[in-house]
Order: sequence, then C-alpha cells, then structure tokens
Amino acid sequence: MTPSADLIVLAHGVGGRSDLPIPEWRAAWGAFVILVLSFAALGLLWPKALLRSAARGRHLGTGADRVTRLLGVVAGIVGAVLSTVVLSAGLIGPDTNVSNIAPVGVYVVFWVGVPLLSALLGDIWRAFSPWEALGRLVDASPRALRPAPGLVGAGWPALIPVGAFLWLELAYHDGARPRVLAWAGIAYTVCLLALARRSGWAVARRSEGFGVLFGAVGAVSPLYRSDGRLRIRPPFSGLARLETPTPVVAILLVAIGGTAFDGFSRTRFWGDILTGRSGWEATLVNTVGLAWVVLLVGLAYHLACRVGGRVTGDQNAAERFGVSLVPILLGYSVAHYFSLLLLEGQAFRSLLSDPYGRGWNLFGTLGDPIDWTLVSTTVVGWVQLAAILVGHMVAVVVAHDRAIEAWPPAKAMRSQYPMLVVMVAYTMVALVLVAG
Amino acid sequence: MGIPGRCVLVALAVLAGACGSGEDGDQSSTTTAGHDHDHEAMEGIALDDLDHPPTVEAVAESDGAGNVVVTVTLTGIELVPVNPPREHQPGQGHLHITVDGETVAMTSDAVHHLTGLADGHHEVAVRLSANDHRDYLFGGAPIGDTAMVMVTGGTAPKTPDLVFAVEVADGTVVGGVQRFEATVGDLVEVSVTSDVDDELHLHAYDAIVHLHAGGIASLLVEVTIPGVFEAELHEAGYRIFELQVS
Repeated sequence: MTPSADLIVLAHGVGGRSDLPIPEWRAAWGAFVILVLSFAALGLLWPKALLRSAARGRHLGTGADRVTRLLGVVAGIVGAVLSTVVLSAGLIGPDTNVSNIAPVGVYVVFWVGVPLLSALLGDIWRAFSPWEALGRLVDASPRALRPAPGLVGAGWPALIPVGAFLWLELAYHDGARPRVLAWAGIAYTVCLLALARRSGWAVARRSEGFGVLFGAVGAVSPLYRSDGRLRIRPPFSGLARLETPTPVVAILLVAIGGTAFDGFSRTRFWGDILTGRSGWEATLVNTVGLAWVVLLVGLAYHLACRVGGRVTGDQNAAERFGVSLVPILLGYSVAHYFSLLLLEGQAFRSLLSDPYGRGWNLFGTLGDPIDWTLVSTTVVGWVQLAAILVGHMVAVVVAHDRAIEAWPPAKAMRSQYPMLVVMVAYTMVALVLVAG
Repeated sequence: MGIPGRCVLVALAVLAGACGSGEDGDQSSTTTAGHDHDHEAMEGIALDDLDHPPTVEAVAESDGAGNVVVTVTLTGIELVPVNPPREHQPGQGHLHITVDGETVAMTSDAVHHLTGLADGHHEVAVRLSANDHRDYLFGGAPIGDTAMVMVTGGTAPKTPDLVFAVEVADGTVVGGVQRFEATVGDLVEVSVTSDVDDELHLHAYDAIVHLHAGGIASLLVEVTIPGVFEAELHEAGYRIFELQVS
C-alpha cells in the first residue's frame, strides 16, 4: 500500500491534512495587544543594546568541537546520498508522485525539515548541502577566476532559486511531478557550478539561495561554530550578528510572502477563485496571487523602513532591520508546516525503503501508513499561535536592539513605530491565514 | 484500508490503488482500498490478435454468514503473485476483484473469500489484469466476468450519520466550495453529481470515487482523523469541497 495518496492531487506541492481553525479574530487581537505591550515594555526596560555581546556565547569544549567535526563529515555523506537518491528517483523513478520519494523529499524534508532543524542546531545546511560539496570540488581545480558582474557578486541571483521553488510549489500545476523537480534541480546545479567554475565557490555560494536562506534561519540557533569551535549562546541572540544585505532581505521577504500565499491559497476565498480552473489557467491565477502576496509583504516592509528611516535620517534601514524578518519567517514556517513535517514527512521514511518504486523494501518501512493522528489538532493550533506570536515578538526585540545600538533610546523608539505597525499587520494576517 | 482498523471506506466506486507496492512479498492476495497509482498504465493491453484469448468465468456463493466465496475458472493465462511487482509478461497475470465497483482484492488465487459483507445484493466483478495491473482487453472490453450474489447473515447495511451533496457542472462547483462539518466517528456520505468523468480524491483518507458524467457517485467514509481535508477532482485539479472533522 502506498503511503500517501495526497501526493497525487496537489493544489500545493504537498499537503493532506489541514489544521482545524483557531478562533482567528480573538487570537489576532490577543497578538495585537501582546505586541504593543511588549513594544512599550522594551522602551522602558531595554535602554541598552544587549544582544550583540550576548551572541558571542561561550565555548562548549574541545570534545564538542571534535564531535561536531565528525558530525559534519557524516552530514556531508548523508546529504550527498540523500540528494542523489532524491534526484535520481525524480529522474528514473515512477513519475506519479505516489511511489516516488522526490516530492516529499524536496517539499517536506528539504524545504521544511532543513530550516526548522537549522533553527535548532545552527547552519547545518552547509554541512549537508550537496551544492556546497560540489562547489568546493570545483574550487579544487586550479583555474583563473574571473570576477562576477556586480549584481551577481552581490548575491542577487539567490532570489531566482527561492522564487522559482515557491512558484513550483505553490503556483505551477505540475510542480509535484518527480521529473519536473529533478530537471529543475539539475538545471540549478549546472548554473551554480558554472558560476563557481567562473568566479569561485565563495562568489557562487552567495547565489545559492537555499543556503543563504537556511543560513539566515540558522542564526537563531543557540549553537554556532566560530573558528572551528562550537559555542552556545541564548536562543535568537545570534540574529544580532547576522548581516542582511539587500538581496538577503529580498529573499526573506519572498519566502515570507510565499508562506503567506500558501496559507491564503488554502482559504475558501481562493478555493472559489480556482474552482473550475485547471492546468495552465490555474497556474496563471496562482502565479498572479503569489506575486501579489509577495509584493504586498515586501511593500509593507519597504514602507516601514522608508518612514522609519525618515525619522532617523537612516538610509540603511532595510538592511539594518532585515534580521527581524528571520524570526517572522521562522514563525510562519512553523505555523504552516509543522504538521506537514510531522504528518506527510512520515511518507519519506516509508519511501526510503523503495525510492525508485521497484517494490524494494530496504528498511522494512515500505507501506507504513501515515499516522494522521500523530499530533492532535489542538496541539497544532497552539503551536501555530505560539510560533507566530513568538516570531513577531522576537522580531520586535531584535529590531529594537538594533535601533538602540545606533541611536539614543527616544529616537530609536520613534524609528520603530512604523515597524511595529508592520509587525502587527503581519501577525494579524498570519493568524487569520493559519486559521483559515 | 489506508489506515487499518481506523477508517472504513465504503465508497461506491473506490478503485484499487497502490497495486502491489506494499505488503509482504509472499502474499498472493492483497486487500486494497485507496487510490489509483498509475494513470499512464491504465490503458490496457489488447489481445485481439490472439486466436484463443484467455477466458474468465466467475461464480460467487454466499455462505449465509456474510461471507462470499468467489470461484474463478480460467483458460489461457498463468496466474502469478501480485507481490513483488513485476513487469508485464504475455500469458501471465492476476485477478482484480471488485464488489459493487470497489476493488477489494488483487489475487493470483482462483478461489477468493470475501468477508464482512453487508446484507443484500452485491455485484462481484473479476477482471483479468497483467502483471503491471493493466487490464487485458478483448474487443475493446476488459476480459472478466460478473456475478451477482445475495448475502444473508452479514452486517446490517450502514446508514450515514450525515449526508452532504455536491454538484459539479460546467467546469465549476455549483454554489461554490463548501466546508462540511462532521464529528469524529461519524459516518459521512457525500454524494457528488457531475457532468464530466473524473475522479474525486479525499485527502488523507485516501478515498477515491469515480465520477461518471450525468451520474451520482457517493463517498461513504467513517471520519476518524480530525482536521480539515480537501476533496479534489483529479483530472480537473480543483477542490470541490472540504470536510472538517472535529
């Protein structure tokens, strides 16, 4: 028996059980009050920047360093094997989604599992990433490097993989087909390695959008490595040391917009719009919807930074406060995908036994049905609420800390009013969307 | 069943799914419910150029205790086990058995026992299928046989706790996409009227119902998993209703 029929018919990349609605407006008003109160409390109780020094943390010990190094090697092997299996299954396995490991491997394990794990354990993608390994391999061959054009060198191309990924997942009608995923993966790998060959992996890495995104999310983790040493610090404090150049800010906004659209597209409002449309027509409508939501999210942030920047005369507000987008994205991701990871993620385990749909049963897990009751809808509801609220509260704190670093408290507070409005708007919209 | 012992699907037309991609390799018979796993493989294998195409005759007998024995007489075909999956071999195949349109078994045994049937008349159909689960066809029709059987001493026919109706017409859902609300443990029936052929798929419950243009198909499902589940048309690709179980 095949584990998840949900992978057959996909309005979204994947998805079977949605979660029960939480009483949306009550939650949204609760969040509004909490955000405003915590903002006011910050003004009174947080007059000095604290996070940057806290973010150094302390060294865990040389034993931990050795274990981390070993785990890094293991992760590299696991990453290489899994990505090879997923890619080759996408290419030669059955092209039916049901008995192919590629869709769940890409949309659940890679896109949801890796960032959530990064938030706990730090920038693990660098250890797992097959592109990182291949890029370093390319770098091992001696050649004359040519500088990349300005936009490429700055890392703008990193928007392409993230944007394309979201489009495949949320808009393209055939986005869950194994062949589509495999060819997209191959095309991306080829482009990335060509760039690495031309200008070196250090430059190409800035265009590896997933690595950039997961790396930014990893900054919230209490664990990080510095000069080969494993250090521990308060959760979220690492954001104080994260630099977010404009392309990274753009990636974060696109990812937030994509996640918001995922929630939006599950509402009945959008369901009614899509009813009667299929194929490329549905793709077109979803593409327009996705683009709109991304634009709105980006515009709200841009305006907040413009208005806030006018208060302080700061030309650099968008980059300065970009870090506050990381906990928001993380909150959105947990809220939307926590149950997906725990439920549909089970299909990955079962498909690992037979990744090519040949009737193998390598680990005896083939055909294990998905336990759709693994997490109760009540737990999921609370996790969603907590994730969104905590995400935005951390965002407010981090932004406040950054502002206090740059300006005297009164001015710093004033610079944050527009940002607070955006945070409240994001939170309320997010809560209404997960509730939908 | 998708989730053994948890959900009962009595769809009017649930097609077999997952043909042989699970279960133990030595099983000769596989009980199935669920979805259809490979659309490209559904077109069938025409045997019109054979002088002596395989024949299938089926007899179904009730034992008076809710069980039915299906005895199949075959010529011109070698029955081979469903698991492990294997490539198509001319002259080899197995049987797909459906009761009232719902595929209940794929087997390489000529005698098959059906258990737990409800009282009343049932249509038992046997179709000859190739190793890769495509139908063998002769004269454009599947090779197989149908038998009617009157079951007594079985379970009482189920009556749903909740009945909902959906109509698909002119490429859209009449009245918009609705969310039907049910409570865990309810037996829910959703009857779907459609003006096109398609397949209805209810997420997570792994239920598929075949819709025929101009006909009514019913999805009967005991809801055991809380959550909101989308029901989508497979070909058309859009949602036609949502089931909220709490």
